[in-house]
Amino acid sequence: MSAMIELVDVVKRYGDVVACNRLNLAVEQGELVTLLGASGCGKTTALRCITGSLRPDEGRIIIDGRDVTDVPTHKRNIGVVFQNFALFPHLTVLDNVAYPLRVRGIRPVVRRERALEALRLVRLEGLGGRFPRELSGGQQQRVGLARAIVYEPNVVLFDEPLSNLDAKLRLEMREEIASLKDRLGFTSIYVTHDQEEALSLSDRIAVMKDGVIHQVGRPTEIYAEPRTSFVAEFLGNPNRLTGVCVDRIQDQVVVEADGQRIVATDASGTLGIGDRAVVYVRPESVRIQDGDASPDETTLRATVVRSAFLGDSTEYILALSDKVNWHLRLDHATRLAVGEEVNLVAPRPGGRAFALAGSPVDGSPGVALGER
Amino acid sequence: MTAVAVGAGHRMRSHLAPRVSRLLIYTFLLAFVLYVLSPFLAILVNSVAEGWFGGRVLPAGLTLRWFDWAFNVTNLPKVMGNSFIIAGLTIAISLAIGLPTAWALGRRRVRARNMLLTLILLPKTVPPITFALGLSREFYAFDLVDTHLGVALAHTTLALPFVVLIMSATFEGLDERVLDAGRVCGGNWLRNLVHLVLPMAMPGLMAAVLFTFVTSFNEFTLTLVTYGPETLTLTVQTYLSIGDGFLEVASAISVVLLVPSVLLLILIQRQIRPENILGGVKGL
Repeated sequence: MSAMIELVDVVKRYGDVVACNRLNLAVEQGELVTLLGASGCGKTTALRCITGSLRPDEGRIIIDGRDVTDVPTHKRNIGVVFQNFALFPHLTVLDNVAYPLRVRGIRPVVRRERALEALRLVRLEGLGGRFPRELSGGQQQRVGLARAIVYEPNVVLFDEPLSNLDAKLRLEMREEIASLKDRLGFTSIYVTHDQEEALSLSDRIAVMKDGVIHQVGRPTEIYAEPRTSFVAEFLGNPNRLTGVCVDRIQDQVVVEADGQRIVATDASGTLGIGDRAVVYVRPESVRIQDGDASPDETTLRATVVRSAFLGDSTEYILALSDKVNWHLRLDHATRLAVGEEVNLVAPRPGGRAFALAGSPVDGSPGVALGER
Repeated sequence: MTAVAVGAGHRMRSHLAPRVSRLLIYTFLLAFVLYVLSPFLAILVNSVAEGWFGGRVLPAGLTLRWFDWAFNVTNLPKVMGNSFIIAGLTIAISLAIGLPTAWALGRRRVRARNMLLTLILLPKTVPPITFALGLSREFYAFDLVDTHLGVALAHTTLALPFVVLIMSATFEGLDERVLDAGRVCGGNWLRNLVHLVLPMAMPGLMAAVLFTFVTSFNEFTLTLVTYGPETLTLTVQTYLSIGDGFLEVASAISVVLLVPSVLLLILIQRQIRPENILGGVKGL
């Protein structure tokens, strides 16, 4: 296995703003890597550097062993699926899909055949004669997908391809992209701000913030073992407990806040006793105590503040103190009343702890977490 | 009781008021149409009329003599040819200058963009005769009087604003991401231009060309100070025929002059719609 797409120390500045700050990323052959981050994190800028719409200020971009940093877009041989579809409005669906072949001087008969085949792959056979404006958003994006794969590029890039679609279509298209990728085996970089999309589609995820890649890893790895507090907070909807590190056993620390204690993995390995720390706890890793806690568990006291019926489950907002609210989803077997005091059981370790520099010890951001 | 009264009043209004207002609307519309069309009607009748003067409502007879005169005495084919050559040149020059200007104004960040647009519009805002006066001085200096190119250059000053305004709006409406898609698909700038920009800008381009054509074809004031025996146009010939006292011949030439404008009007009615000019994709 060799890297199909490689970013080496890529820097892109807009005036004083550094949109991409020394990005390094190697995408293996056949792999789908997501650039995940909020808007303005530099993920789209990075993608535009790879397509050639932007030229990085520093660093190199290598595709299939060829340094393409100074190669114009049209010679890079890549497929791109755009957020707004970017179809050619004056061409029919078939001509849209056939366009990359036409540009490559392929005979009309052959390109028609291959365009029809690509349309079949995205299940749009029979719509080749329509114009883009006559299709629904989902169909338009399928055309975009067909156009990106029709000349069988080694690399297909996705620029938030699903964000202009409604929720149901998004799921459907996600499946579509995954199955196409399995069948055709192209290498992909996929830009999105949607973590669910990233977690479900990716072989690996690169979490970005402020132009920097915080962590690259498999979805399970990123989710279970975030390496920075940003990654921990960005993925999923974790509960937070901010306190002081009071004890340390090997790579685990005990963090205390308002008399409550929890055992957590020291993610950075730098926490000392007396340091301020924040612990991120996945809601699904704690449970309501229904008997005695086993010795390798810790318990926390909480009061039920609010409940919200969600259909398949009920979400409870639990106050661990005046300032710290946690949320917890329970199935209908367990019913809690507002005002009821409960014991929460967390495993050891129950979460991941990060050093907290400078900010005061309180759990106020945790309140916001309870109110998605 | 009150409810019934209100109901009755409502019914009365709904029966009578629309009829009255519809009658009023049609009366005004008819009056307006007559007001606008009557000069054209007069010219049409005049061009084929015999002995239509004094207080007569209808001409004494019909004849094609005036067209015959127009064709033979005033050498209408050559004059018409001049008009077409000059209009064609005007289109070529206007596009050559206007398209790059419009691209720059529509697609790039240009400093003092509004000032530039105002400058381009200037010849359209000053009195034509004032502009013509200054223009004729320059044209004599550069020996451009009585050349097709000279007249076309004069017309260009009037046509260029159309081209720049229409085309900068058209180019501005092109989606950069679609052009990006063209490059990603493997097209260089030339292919992007030919396969994407040109077809997508075609409605605007057609509008610009047609407006330019009609502007040149119908232009009178600037032509008057730049024409010569070799570059007589239809408008000037009409004017000269009036001066010679041949109202009927002037009318016959005017009828010929009207044809492109009428054709354009029909085309605009059928073809040029806002959605065609913008040419976007649904839903975005």
